Amino acid sequence: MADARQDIQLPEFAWLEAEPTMSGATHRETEASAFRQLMPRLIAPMLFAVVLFGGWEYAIRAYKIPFYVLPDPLLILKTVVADWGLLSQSLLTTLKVTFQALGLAVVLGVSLAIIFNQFRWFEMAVFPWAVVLQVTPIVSIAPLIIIWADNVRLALLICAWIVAFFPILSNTMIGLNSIDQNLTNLFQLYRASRFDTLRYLRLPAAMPYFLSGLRISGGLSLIGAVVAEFVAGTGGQGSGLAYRILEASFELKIPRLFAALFLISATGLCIFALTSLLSWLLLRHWHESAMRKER
Amino acid sequence: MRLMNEGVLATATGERNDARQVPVVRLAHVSKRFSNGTLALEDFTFAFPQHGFVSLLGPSGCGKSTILKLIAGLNEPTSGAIQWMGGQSQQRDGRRDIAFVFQEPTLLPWANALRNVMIPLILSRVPWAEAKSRALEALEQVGLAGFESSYPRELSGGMKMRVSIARAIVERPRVLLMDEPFAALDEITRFKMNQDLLKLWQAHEFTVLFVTHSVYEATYLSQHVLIMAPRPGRAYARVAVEAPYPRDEGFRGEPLYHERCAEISALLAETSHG
Repeated sequence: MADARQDIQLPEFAWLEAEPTMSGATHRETEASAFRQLMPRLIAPMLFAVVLFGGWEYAIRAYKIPFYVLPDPLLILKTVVADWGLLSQSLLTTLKVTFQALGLAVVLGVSLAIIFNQFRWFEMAVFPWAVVLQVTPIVSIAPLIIIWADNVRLALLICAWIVAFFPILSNTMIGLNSIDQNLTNLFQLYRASRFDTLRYLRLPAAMPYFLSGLRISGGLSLIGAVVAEFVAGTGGQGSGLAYRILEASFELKIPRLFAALFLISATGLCIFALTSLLSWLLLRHWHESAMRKER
Repeated sequence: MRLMNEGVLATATGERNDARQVPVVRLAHVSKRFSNGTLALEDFTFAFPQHGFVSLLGPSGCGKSTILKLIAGLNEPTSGAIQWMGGQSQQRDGRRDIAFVFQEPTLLPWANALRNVMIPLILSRVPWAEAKSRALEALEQVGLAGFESSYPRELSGGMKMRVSIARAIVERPRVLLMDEPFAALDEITRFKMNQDLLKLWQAHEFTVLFVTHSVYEATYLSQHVLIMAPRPGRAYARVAVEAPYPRDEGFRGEPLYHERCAEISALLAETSHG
């Protein structure tokens, strides 16, 4: 088996996307081309933002819409800066609840998925109740949780967790069972223990499913944290961004309402970007979903 | 039609030496009926010789893959016995001596070539450093030195199959079961793989059981070709290919090769008519 190199093939679409000058391209040139391909993904949404916010800014000036009805984007940004002391405190609170809920959702969702996978009778007994928890609107059970929980922070955490954990649970469950029959046979042939099969076969196979669940849950835990705080409606020193919105609407501080809203959206975007990045880092070598972005 | 006789087979050079030629695994009156009632294999008796190369050839549904799965212990026979020579029973150490190559490369897509080859060693608790060096050695033997950090998706079909073969030989099996391993490859790659497989087989002391659809592949590779008949799956005839090893591409031009191919094709045609 001396000459294995004859087996080397170009990736299927390499020649389609490569530019004529690419033959014999250096590493730097390849990077430059990757950069060029990335640019539309960055520039296009930015251009759209300029058009959108420019139009918004223009409309407010042209039609003289008062700021207490709809503030213009510049005023919102100014408010973010001016109220940063108050808003940053709230942002931190919301972030804490969101990430704690997401962390709990990951730990409990994955653990429960593994237990379900290993003990079918347990899955049959418990999974329907997880579904019940999922399909019941969080807004309707949040008041109960707020009554039952000792403090508001804990109640918010529970609410955000309930919303966030189901996609991770159900996706990981599917992933743990999505195994090539041949690979199952192979591990059976090796007489791999249940634990080894889980560790070397089921868990890695579940990874793409888990990560897509994580991307959904990341956004949901933020939504859960915000919704629960709206329902709780309690303020004070350590209150989150949702309470700032409530407060601002009572006091008719509309620019601050928009500033808080802006921060929530920005947080959601960051969470999505982070989970997407994590997904790409973990899957780029082998999973189809991460391939196209690589080029 | 030639009826099969149980027992010891001729050696590679065509000589019969019953005392020396010990079978490695013997199937005695083995039948397999699936739960849906299909009789996949009926009264199959054969002794696979140590360091032999036997091909199982036949149309779909003739029970050739069933035989491999029974020997591998992936299925249990409905009746009959599978006997391992040298004191190994199927239940205890037998399976560890078996390696299986499937039609698909069946690699872990998230693991690079090295980790894929290491997997059987990791699962049998071989220390990491030893597992790694043995896996590197196996990759080198299949001609993939330098590709250890490549992921399956970066490799061609032929190279993936080489990784799969490296994973099979890394445990130094006594019996290598191959279930149409090259069926999905193009002919040029397949010829090369055939040749390289023969080299590996000669370098190592393992027995190959090779399931294939191809008369030419079976004839080129094997000492013995078992022709199987379908419905119910059963052994139909045995043809010895007496040509010595090493066989190279030139063997495909020799009269003996063509005679055997014609003979086997004729027998194969009989099975589907009879």
